[in-house]
Amino acid sequence: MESSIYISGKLLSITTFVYFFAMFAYIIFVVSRNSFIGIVGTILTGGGFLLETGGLVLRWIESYQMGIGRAPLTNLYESLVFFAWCTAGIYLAFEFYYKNRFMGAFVLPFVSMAMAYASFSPNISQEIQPLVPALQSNWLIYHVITCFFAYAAFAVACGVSIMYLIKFKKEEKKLPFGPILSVFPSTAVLDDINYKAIAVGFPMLTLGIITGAAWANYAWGSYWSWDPKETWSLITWFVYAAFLHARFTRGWRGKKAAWLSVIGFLSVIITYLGVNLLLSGLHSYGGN
Amino acid sequence: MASNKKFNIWDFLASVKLAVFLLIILAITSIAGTIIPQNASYEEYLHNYGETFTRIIDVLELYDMYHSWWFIFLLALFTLNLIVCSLKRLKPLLQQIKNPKKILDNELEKSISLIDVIKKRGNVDVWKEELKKILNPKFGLPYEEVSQQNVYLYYDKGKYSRLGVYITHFSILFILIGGMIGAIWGFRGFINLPEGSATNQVIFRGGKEPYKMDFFIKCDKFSLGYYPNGMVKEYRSDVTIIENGREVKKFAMRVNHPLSYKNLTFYQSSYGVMDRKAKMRVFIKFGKNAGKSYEIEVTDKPVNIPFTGDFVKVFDHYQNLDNLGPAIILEVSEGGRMPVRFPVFKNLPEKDLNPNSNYFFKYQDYNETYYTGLQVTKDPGVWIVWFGCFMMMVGLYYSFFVIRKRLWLRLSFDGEKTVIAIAGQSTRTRVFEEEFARIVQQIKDVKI
Repeated sequence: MESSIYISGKLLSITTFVYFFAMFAYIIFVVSRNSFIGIVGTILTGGGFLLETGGLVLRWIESYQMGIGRAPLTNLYESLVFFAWCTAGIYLAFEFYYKNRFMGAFVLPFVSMAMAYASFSPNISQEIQPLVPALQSNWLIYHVITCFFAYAAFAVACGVSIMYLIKFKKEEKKLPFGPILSVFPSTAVLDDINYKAIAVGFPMLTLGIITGAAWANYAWGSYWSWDPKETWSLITWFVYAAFLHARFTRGWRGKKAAWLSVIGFLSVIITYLGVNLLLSGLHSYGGN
Repeated sequence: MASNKKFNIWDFLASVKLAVFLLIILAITSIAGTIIPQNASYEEYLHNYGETFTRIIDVLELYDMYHSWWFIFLLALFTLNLIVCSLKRLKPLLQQIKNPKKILDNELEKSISLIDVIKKRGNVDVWKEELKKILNPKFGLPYEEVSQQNVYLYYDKGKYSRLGVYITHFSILFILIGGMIGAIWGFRGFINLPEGSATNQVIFRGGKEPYKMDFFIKCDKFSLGYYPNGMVKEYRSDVTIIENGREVKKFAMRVNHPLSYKNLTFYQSSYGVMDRKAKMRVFIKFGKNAGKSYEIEVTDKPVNIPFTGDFVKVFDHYQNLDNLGPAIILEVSEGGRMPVRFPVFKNLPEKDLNPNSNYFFKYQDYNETYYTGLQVTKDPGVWIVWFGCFMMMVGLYYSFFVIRKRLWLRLSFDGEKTVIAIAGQSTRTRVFEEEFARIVQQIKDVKI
């Protein structure tokens, strides 16, 4: 069965384009500082988010119509879509809270890339498949939601950290910011947003690891077996734990902390995608 | 001199810098075990990595790196750092929580950044009640103190938020202790149980002495369930627990539905076919017996075809081969030649897929018995681990989502008006600044 027969698939394909336009709108906004284009970016992101919500709900309904009936969180395609959904949602919340649209140019690329990868990669099946026995568990839902909420928060933190590092470089050398950088939030605010996003992501990642451990114990009788996916999630946890402690350590604040946030997100990407594509282990069914 | 040196080690172990360093080192070193296959054989490492690197793997125990001496050492150092660092900071914190500074005096006034002074008509007692009306709903009940000239109010909301960090830190100890208890007093073994048989023995990898349970587990039936598209929907073992000769429990075990009995837990982990029995009719095509046919039972061991020197066995069976329905794969050895394998379909009784052979087979009935593979786990530490996890979430909640907000108020009468000095402090300065400004404005706006 091809994805084109699912209405949800159509909706999610359109979403991909909407997010791409949103990304371009934000980038043009940063370059031109034309506030109208910035508003267009927000509207497109919000619209894409709603469209994607519809697509996910519809996919859930379609799975019931097929007699399979499971949450749309069970393979690589669905997890990428869900990652984009979480990231767009958290980004919109941060944009609303901090009243600053410039972050969009640094966060929307993650959203649209995830959607593009899900929609266009020939290696990713969009089919609605029934669940193999190991995945038939309510823990699946708790585990996936908590993990991806965390990943999304870390994506926002990474985008903001990149902004921080760009701005900090000029600040360090006491160079003038120029027209674009001067409208970025101040490094203090960027640092604050970075921390806030990680303060949300870290407990969520912890809960994601715990629910994963509880599920593994229930399905296999072992809550921790140093499987590559488990280990990488722990590596990610170590990096963000280091970030949180670095903030209280002289010589580790600011620039180094921002780098830790970027490295943390790289670790997230390896945990999420790299392990499935490069290494083997218990999560191998997530790879197709 | 000696005490001075000891002091330095204590300081080193208590430093957050060491924590950051260890977390980064743990993160980096952990990568190795995700790239180098764990618990493979020596030959495999030699083949994949060559002699020099295999020696490094051997010395650094990279073949089982998460249990290697140096990784355990890092974890131990990390734990020590965690304990020392927490204890050092916890004591003054507890003191501060128990006995905080409640009075807004000159010293505090100078050191605090959020402070405002408001003068209002009306006497001190009226204003005390008025302020409590505004602040109590937001900050809880205040501490009150009345001196000769002044009335003091002190609010401390979320005062335990700073304990969150230490709850989180100590939760890690629980998780590690639970893990250690599991590693020392727990085990993980296997049972392979053919349908219809029972056992009380748990076997282990690596030739360890089997564990004897004080009850028997019997596999009544193993079955596979399929989705319409042919994917496996469930692996299911119907088992019975037999204790002292009595059946005490029946259970349908599936993946994600383990069976717990006494202090053991059984998991559906694998299965296999024990033996296959096919009822078939074999027709002789050529020779002096041409046209004759016999009913035979073919198994997965070679069976003699009647009145010939040739053999047949069941090689495999498919529920649905090439969408043509059930099929048996037979393996026939004729006249000492190489055995030939071919399918016999239940739904295509006339189809001869081995035309050169002297025999033609018809599918009549097929039965197979399974064995179920169970994993058996004993882990007395697991509840300590879950308690630690719960504690960690509580700790993280307090650290990140409970914000400590403190307000100090001093009311005095300058002969004409009540002078309200208000100071505030929070763990989230930026957000609190705005709230503080709103409160001050609210007080200014009150009219009596």
